[in-house]
Amino acid sequence: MAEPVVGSRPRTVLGLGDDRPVTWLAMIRVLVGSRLRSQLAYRTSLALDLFSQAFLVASEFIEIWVLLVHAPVLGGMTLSQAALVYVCSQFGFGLADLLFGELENAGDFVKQGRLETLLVRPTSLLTQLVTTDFQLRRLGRVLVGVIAYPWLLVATVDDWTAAKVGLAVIAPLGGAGIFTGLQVWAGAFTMVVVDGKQASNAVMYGGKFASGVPGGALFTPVRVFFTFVAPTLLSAWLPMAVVSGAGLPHGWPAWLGWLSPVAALVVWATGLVAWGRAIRHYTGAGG
Amino acid sequence: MRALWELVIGGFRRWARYRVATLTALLANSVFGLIRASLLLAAVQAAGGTVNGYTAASAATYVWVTQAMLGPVELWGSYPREVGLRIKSGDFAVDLLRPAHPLAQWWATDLGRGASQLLPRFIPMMLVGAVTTGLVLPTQPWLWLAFLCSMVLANTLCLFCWLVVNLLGLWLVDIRGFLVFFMVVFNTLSGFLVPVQWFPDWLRTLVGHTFLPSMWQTPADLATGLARGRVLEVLTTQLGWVLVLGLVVALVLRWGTRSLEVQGG
Repeated sequence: MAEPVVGSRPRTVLGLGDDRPVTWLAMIRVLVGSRLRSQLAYRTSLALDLFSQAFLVASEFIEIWVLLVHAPVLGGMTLSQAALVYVCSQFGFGLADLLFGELENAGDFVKQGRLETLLVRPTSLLTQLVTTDFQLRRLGRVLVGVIAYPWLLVATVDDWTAAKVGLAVIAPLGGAGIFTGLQVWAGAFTMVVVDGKQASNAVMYGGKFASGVPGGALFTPVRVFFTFVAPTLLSAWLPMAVVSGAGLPHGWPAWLGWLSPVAALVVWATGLVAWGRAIRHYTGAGG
Repeated sequence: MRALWELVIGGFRRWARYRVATLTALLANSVFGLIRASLLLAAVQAAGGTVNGYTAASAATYVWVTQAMLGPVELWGSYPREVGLRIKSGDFAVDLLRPAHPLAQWWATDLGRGASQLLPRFIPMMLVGAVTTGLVLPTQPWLWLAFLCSMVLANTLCLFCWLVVNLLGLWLVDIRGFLVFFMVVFNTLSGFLVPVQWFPDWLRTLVGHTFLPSMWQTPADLATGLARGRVLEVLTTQLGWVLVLGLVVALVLRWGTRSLEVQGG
């Protein structure tokens, strides 16, 4: 073992001096960095995972495609408009899943008695859960978005205005905001109702499914629920209907397409309140 | 025989216990059912009232019957996945020591699981469908009997298919790629997302020569009346595929256990 060099400052894992406080960002960098390095070690496995994710995204579109083979227009949208909605929804959801995908498993930590070890650490539970299992394979969905979204936008829309460009940029980001907010909700819910993952899935994945289809085709109560309660339709169908000039159902104004950032803020704010309540509701077994 | 019967009962009891999970699964199935029904009905309407033999009523029935089947028939193979995890952990060795063929053990347990889901998952889901979109169901009791047989055969086929995939774990360390791949294949081509009859002609012909529709589409056809006049024929086809896949699993299992090394005890 090498002798410590006198006078040199001892360095921590963070690469900072011991006397400096660890910032939140630096910690995130270390936590996520360690996950990334471990996953990058298995290149073939990662490549296969990315590929299968992209394959999954493509296969889920088959349903919409088959429907549009039989019906030339579905819910006021043509095949290319429906594809645009689908890809935009996958893009937003993919970003959210990459960042916060682990939150929906918060209930498992309660079930397995692993929550205490996280609670005693001097960092917020949310930060820890989000960084616990940062999975690179979730990039697959985002990659599909990065490639297919601009391409479909160019192929489908021909009367571009500044406002439309703005909306096309906002939509996937607002969508990511809405879906991450719903993930905070789902985490809070499964911490309280430990076996209730399917219920939060109903909202989360039901919402994801609904957001990727021409919303005009949905039953009105379903459309109202996923616009105003769990507002996933604001993430793709409504903004893409505005951008691509597709018709909205009677009584649905076009400005709804712009609401995703506002909706994301509301879902996040209420989600954080629910998250705080869920943590306080939790009673450890002294594990 | 007695051991197998005990496994059926055990399977039934185990899955009948997850009450909150059953309730929340019903909620999830209902939400997805409503979205799928919206889409299919919109497509039938936009296409002028019928699509390849489906009217609005039979499309709605197809959606709710398939949502209801998600309880008893495991298209997504979560029980055979347990077998896969037992292979990974080594507990699989215990299955080999038991006094019945492993395949029979798994089949019996899964039969019990499926039966336990009829009352809490299948029937409520059909009620949701009847209330929300309305259903058109067969009235003759013997058609229901045929439907029940078809569900058992479909579930057996799903079990066998997923067992083959999971038994790959006897040779490979990580089979996640295979799991995702087959999930996609079974979801899209068995008639789960959209009816097989709605596929483009070339794809329908291609899929028709495989076991895929027997995993899922066949019981739905019996419930919607699309298999009217061909009941015995479709059931025989299903049974044939069950025997073929059963043989495949048995062979894979035999080869796999030959190469299996159990460490310690």
